[in-house]
Amino acid sequence: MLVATASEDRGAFRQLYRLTSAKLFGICLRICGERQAAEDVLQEVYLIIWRRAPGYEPGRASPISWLATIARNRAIDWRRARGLRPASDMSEADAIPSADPSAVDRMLAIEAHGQLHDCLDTLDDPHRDAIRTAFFDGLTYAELAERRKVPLGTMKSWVRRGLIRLRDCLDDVG
Amino acid sequence: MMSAEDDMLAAELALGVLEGDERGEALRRQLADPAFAAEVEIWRERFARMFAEWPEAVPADDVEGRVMGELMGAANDPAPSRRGWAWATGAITLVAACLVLALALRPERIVTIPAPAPTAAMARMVAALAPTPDGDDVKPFAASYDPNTGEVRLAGGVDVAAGRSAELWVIAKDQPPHSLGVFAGDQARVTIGGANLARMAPGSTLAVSIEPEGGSPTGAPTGPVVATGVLSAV
Repeated sequence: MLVATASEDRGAFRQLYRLTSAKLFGICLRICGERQAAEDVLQEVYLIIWRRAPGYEPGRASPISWLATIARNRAIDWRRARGLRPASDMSEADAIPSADPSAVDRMLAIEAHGQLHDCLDTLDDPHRDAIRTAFFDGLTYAELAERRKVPLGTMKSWVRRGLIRLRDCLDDVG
Repeated sequence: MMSAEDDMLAAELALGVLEGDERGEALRRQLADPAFAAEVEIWRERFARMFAEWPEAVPADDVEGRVMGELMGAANDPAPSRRGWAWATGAITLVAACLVLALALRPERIVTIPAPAPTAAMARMVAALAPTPDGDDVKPFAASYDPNTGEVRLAGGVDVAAGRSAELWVIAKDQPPHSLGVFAGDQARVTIGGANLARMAPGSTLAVSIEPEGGSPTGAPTGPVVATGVLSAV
């Protein structure tokens, strides 16, 4: 036999790690808030990726957003399971794009040229801010309301109105 | 058609703003209702566009070793768990191949390629070529095959000593290797034809061997096989 499939998969996995770990670690670090925990979560994320790989459908999701979504969800689960408070606003510090984007970032930047950003721009400021903050900081409705110092019902209505507007805009542009 | 209310719930679950009973209920719906689960996925893909803005950070060097070590542990697990190697075999290779392809075939290069007629187009295939034990210096790379043009494109390559050539082979199920041609450098393209077209099918293996300059004199691999990968339809 020429083929050793297990070692082939291991080689592919190592390559996958090297290409994506900086992006996925950035996600874990932001949401977990500390390096040690974020590295433990990152390790779990790659094991989840390994196990879930058979369910990946190339036609449906871009590979990098599939991987990034797994990292974000796992990091959020980790933080919430420990009842930890969310990290501070991303907009305050490190939202500056790096001067020398990695290959993964260049690819994501190309994907981002979709309609989502155009449609986000059409939202009222508080609605857009609520959705973006929920996404980047992994906040629940209650955490969003506390951070923006508005009642929970107000926050829910901001997010939902933003989501409805977003959906209608995305449907319109096809 | 999903009701507007269900669509909102799907969006809220994908965004991660729900908690407690609301989240539990939404998660149950996701498991029980494929239409709802599909809506959650659509919203996830929409939000995923924002990942471009997320700053990268480099993890400590030892994390890679820890991750790979855990996989080895799973591989050696004597319990016939379906979560170990056997279960994942080939799948991660496909994910990696798709990722590498997406990175290698960036739009600025794709735009120069005329789009094939959608009605007659056959699905493209990809393979992630990973080093074998004989391919110590080989970095994994991807191959994509377009059945409409008969062209194999390599995103990456193999370093070859002077006087030697890298040769690409296809191994269809239960068949001996057939040469697809020699190649040199990174980003090589190999155009195939004849009986090899039928051998390029999902599940067939691509392999690279190191041969005397110009290719194997015998029609079969004579040198070390340094990388292999299985073709999958995309």
